[in-house]
Amino acid sequence: MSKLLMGIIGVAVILGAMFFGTYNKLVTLSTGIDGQWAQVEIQYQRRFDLIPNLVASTKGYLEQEQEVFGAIAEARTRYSGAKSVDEKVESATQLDSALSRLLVIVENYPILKSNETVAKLMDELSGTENRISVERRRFNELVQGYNLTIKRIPTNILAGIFGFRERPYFEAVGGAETAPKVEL
Amino acid sequence: MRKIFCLFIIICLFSIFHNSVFAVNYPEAKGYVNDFADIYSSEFETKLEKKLADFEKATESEFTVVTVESLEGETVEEYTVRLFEKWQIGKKKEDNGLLLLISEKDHEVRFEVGYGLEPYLTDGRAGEIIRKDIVPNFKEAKYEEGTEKAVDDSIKYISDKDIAPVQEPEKNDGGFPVIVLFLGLYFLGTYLASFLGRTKVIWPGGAIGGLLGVIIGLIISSLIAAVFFGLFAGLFGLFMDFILSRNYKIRKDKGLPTGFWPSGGGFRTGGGGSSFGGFGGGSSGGGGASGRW
Repeated sequence: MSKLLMGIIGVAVILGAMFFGTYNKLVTLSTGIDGQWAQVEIQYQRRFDLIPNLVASTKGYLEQEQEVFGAIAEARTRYSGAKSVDEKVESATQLDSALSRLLVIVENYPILKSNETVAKLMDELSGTENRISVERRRFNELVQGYNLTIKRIPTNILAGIFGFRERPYFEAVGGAETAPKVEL
Repeated sequence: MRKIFCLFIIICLFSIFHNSVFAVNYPEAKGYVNDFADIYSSEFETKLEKKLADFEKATESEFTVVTVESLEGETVEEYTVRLFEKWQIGKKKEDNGLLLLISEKDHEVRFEVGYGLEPYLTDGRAGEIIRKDIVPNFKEAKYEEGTEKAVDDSIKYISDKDIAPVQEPEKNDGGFPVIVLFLGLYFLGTYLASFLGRTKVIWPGGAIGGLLGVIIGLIISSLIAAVFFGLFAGLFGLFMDFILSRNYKIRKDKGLPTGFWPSGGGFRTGGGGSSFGGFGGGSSGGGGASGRW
């Protein structure tokens, strides 16, 4: 009889450990994704903070390129007004393309290329672009791991019970995956 | 029996390592200077290695210089951040690692700066070092001069703790209380060893090992891992109980003390004594600057 009792306790312990282990793992993974999303946002914010300096130091030389500055200003306003994550991503990708254009323009102006202040700002900007792509890749890797976990047997049963849903990837629009090259 | 055991080990090793296979084969760290492309003389290498080791002693920052023949089709940004991830340069909490990568055939160079050093060696400063120290010297194939100047200037920025006026990005810390886990296991192990050694039979060791293995496997990973851990730990427990029970009996027969300390129950290992003991677990987030010569 005591053997049977031992057996029941053993099975209960295993099931309990399985239950807590799986639940905790899903919570950890999910929280990790949220933390990584914060990293992505920090880098976006960093980029927005750089823009006023960049615009101030290049605007004087680029009188005939006012259109690109307009696009940058517009994307920036939209980002600060964005409420949801989707809106933020959309305005951020808009800024991606405007900034890439500015980087190309700057490369065509030898006066700007030889200016150390502008060169440093360009370093900061391409550094930030690279940071964004790094943090975005890590975000997507975490999402991938999480999505794979909740689809696997037997985790999928518990994930279904507790409402752990599939998380969307952060898709970069064409050309924004890699940091623009700045050759100065 | 032996065949099955070997197969087990192979499967276990495979399940541990198959996740860490990359498309590009990133090299292993040899020291602070890793001249894989062989562009430095051995005297220069020794000198630089000493400089970087002293720098680590003085500031705790880990600065490594790596030269490779080619980037194997990767971009220089991608290559450095992956290498940084693999080597984990810098101390874990401080993230004070710095990687200078030089690709000989691609004529590309990049500073990858750990999170913790970003306020001192900003992207702008890293870019300036590349433009002023590296590019002009490397164009004339003066690799040693260019590297030395770049290393000196970077060390100066970091040693001076000269904070540049730029936003410092925060980082999320995935710290894990390993010490707590080890202490727990240690005491549990001590208790179990003293208890199991006194029993004549050897199956409880196997059973406890198996159960613990299943639980640990489930907590850290999946059901498959639980089965492997269970079997592995079960066999280990069986073996340990066998040894412990036998030793207990032998010691008792000979009248030797059977306490934990006198019987050498603690399995302790000493640390390594080489000058380069690997990097400390730091991370970076794509900060730094790239250049071409």
